[in-house]
Amino acid sequence: MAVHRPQGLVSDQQSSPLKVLIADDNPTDRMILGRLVARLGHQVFSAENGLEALVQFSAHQPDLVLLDALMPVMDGFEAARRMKLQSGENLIPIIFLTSLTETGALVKCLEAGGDDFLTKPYNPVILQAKIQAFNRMQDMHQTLQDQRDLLSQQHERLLREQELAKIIYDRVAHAGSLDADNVRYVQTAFAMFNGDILLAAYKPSGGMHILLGDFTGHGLSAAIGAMPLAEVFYSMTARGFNLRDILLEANNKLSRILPVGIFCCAVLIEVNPDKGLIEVWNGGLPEVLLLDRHGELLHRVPSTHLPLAVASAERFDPIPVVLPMAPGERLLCWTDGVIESRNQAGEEFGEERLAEFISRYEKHPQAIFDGLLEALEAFHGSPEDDISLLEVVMQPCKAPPATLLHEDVRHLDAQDWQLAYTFRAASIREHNPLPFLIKVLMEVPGLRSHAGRLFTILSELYSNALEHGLLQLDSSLKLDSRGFTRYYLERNRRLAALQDGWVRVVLDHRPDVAGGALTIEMEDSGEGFVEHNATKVHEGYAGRGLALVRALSEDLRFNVKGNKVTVVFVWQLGHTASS
Amino acid sequence: MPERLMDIDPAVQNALRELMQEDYPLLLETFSKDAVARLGRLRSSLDTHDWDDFRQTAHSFKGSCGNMGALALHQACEEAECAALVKDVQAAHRSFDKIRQGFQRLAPQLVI
Repeated sequence: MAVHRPQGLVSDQQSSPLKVLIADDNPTDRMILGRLVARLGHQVFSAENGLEALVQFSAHQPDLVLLDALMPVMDGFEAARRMKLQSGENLIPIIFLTSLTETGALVKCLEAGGDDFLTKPYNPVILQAKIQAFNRMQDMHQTLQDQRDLLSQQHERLLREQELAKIIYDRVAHAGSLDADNVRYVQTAFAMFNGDILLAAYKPSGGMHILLGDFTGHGLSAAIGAMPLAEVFYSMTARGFNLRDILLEANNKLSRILPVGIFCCAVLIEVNPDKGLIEVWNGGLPEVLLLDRHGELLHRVPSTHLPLAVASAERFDPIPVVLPMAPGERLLCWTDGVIESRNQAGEEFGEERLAEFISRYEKHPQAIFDGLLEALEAFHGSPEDDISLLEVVMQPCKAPPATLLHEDVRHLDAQDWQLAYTFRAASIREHNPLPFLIKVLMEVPGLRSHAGRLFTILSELYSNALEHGLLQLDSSLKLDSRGFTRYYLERNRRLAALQDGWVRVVLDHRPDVAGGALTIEMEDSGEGFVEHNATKVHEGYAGRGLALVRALSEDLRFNVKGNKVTVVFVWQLGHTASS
Repeated sequence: MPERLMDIDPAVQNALRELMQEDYPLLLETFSKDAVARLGRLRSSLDTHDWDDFRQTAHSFKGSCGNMGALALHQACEEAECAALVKDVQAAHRSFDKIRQGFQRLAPQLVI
């Protein structure tokens, strides 16, 4: 049959031509209807029975089907059913051509998948109206599908971006880099990004810093505050800064960059196996518990500070609590996701249940961590809050790990020099001079692998100079745990009140054939310290420091007055730090 | 006696003439050929009392008669359908005759 695109007899034509399939067993009707549709500007395909209609449908993929109900071979109903199946997700409207007026027959058309009817004799106006209506509906349907696909694509892309961001984030913000066997931790996350942060790093002297943090909110916006915090934590710990300095810097930095209302509840811990003590600072997290070897509670460290990024620099208190900790004793710490996790009935796990749980583990405290995890899992199926759990066990004193600062390839120079530096009261009050001194020493490439030992030596000498020389503290106070706390409280009080006094440090490095020798002199303005205590082995914590320095160095001697100590440290080329 | 319906509605024919343009003769030819075939089919199914076939053939013919404006024939086909539905042999014969005569009257009126 000829396809016409004649001049329009009808006033408004379709904007875009459609492909229309016409199936009718009567040749006269086919001809008339076909011509009517073609006159509206569309492309016509014809069939004379249901089977032929299906063939044409598959071959030409029409936009609209006009289908006679009663046809030989295969009737319209069956053809319609199969066409709908074949269309799948797409909407291909089917209009039944019928002079059947009984309701039953019309229902049958609809059940077979028909979308509308067109009665005989054909009315061109009605035909045009119906075609237009269905065309519009099909456009809408297509638009919906396209938008759904677009949304789906964007969602996929968003997920991929988040996955990549998470990889970067994990490298910066999580404790996966620390493989210490005395630290156990668990972090679960409800969503891809966790507002909880857990960081751990070794100090140059062999101790360790740990940070457990809980940022307000959830998801990416909560987690992203962890990046600057992690940067501060890792770089300052590596350079030998103490908790107080790190806390001040962290609070300043986060206050500057986080928006109002976003803050970080945190616990910071310094583990010092050499001195057998830990320092704990708790700003906003649940109580930290210290248990002895038998699982009995020794201390609680509740939150007595504001979380990070809340207080201004003047109001912020970075002073941690100092506690003695013997080998085998353990510290437990968690974020409030543990306390606030809810079971199916909506009850909270709660502090009481937690306390009761821990008391059950007397005699075998090493099972608490796993036991607690199991109990939490049994309590609720899927936690909706982030849960972080941390356990730190004190181990016997070990030699500090070898290289902790990043090596860089530098020219071997600046080996023969002397540096003298005097720190006076105001400086001593506010700043820790050790990172600066270590940085200077790291200018000598041969000393880099000994950073740990050097830091320990400087740290001990400075402590002595400061605490015994300038602050005149009596280290025999540190013999028991109550005295311990009193000692450190007094130390901080006297340091804050320091007005006079100085500490002078002289570093003198000379190279020799196969390495070099570093002489460290530390002098303080105090009355002098009589060394006899250092030669005896004490029960308590006093005196252990100088013995350690002696073990790490070639020579150690005091002047007569007792306010100046000289230490010689020798290093050799080609030896590793452990030999 | 009921009013006799037109054999052919001139308004419909005019519209068709305009629709089909130079294919109008082809349309008339198609209709005529199909009508002859339908008559043959009606005859044989009537003889064999195949009521389904009789009904379907009458139904299809009715449709095209409607589109052509052949009102009297359209009416006759409707009667044939009903007769077949109730399997009324007499009525079927009567309606068949009506169809046959109707077409005989109509054929010469189908002019270009």
